[in-house]
Amino acid sequence: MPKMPIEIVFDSKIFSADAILGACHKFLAKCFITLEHSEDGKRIIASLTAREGVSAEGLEDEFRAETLNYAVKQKINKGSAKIRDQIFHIVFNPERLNALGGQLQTELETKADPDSVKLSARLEKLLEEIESEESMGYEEDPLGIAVPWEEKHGMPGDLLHPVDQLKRQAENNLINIETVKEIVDC
Amino acid sequence: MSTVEFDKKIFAMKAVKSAVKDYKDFANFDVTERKDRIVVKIDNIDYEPKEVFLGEFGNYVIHKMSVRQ
Repeated sequence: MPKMPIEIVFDSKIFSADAILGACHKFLAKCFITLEHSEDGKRIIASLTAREGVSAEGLEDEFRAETLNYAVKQKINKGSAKIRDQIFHIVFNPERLNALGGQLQTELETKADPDSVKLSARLEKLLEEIESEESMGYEEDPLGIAVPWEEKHGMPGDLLHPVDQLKRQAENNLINIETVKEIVDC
Repeated sequence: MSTVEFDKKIFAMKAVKSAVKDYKDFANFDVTERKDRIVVKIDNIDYEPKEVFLGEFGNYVIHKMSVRQ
C-alpha cells in the first residue's frame, strides 16, 4: 500500500526556496520530496513521502527544524558575506596583506600598554645579558667551577694515613690490635 | 507515460536537464516549459516500481539544485 505524503507549508517570506532545498537534501535518503509554490505564490509546499522501511513518525518536525536551521545559516551567511569577501580579498592579495600587517604593527607599538612596554624592555635587557654571557669563552671560568676541590679547600682534616687508620680501628676494637702490630712491623 | 512537473521559481532548467542526462539510460525523457513549470514527460521506464523511479528522479533534481548552490 503506497504511503500518504506529508504536506508541510512554509511562508515564502520567511523561508527561501534555497533554505528549503538545503533541508530537502538532508532528507533525500529518508523520503521522496516534491516542492512547489501555492497558487497565490505566498507559500512553498513540501510533500514528503517516506521511503519503504522508513517511519513517517516525527518526519515533519525534523524537516521543519532542518529548514529553520538552513534559514538561520543563510541569514548569517548573508550578513557576514561582505566581511568574508573582504577577508578573502586581503588573504589572497599579498601586497594588501603586508600593508595591513605593517599598519597593525605600528598601531600595536603606539597603543601599547605601559606595563607590557616595561616588561618587554626588561626582557630585552635580560636577553642582551644572556647573549653577552654566551659570548664569554668557557676557559675563563670566573666562578672557578673547573678547579678541583682539593686545590680550592686543601686536604680534608680527617684524611689519615692508612697505618693511622688501622690504629684508630684497633682502638675502637674494630680489628685486632695484634694484627695491626704485625702489619706495622712489616 | 508519466509526467513530473517542477516549479520554475524553485527549480532551474539546467538542473532538470542535467538530471535527465544522467537518467537517460533508464527511460525516455521529454522536457518542455509551460508557464511557470518545467514539464518532464517520461516514457519506457526500465525500472520497477515506476513510482519509485519517479520519486528518485524528483529527488535527483533536488540534489542537482543543492549541488548548484
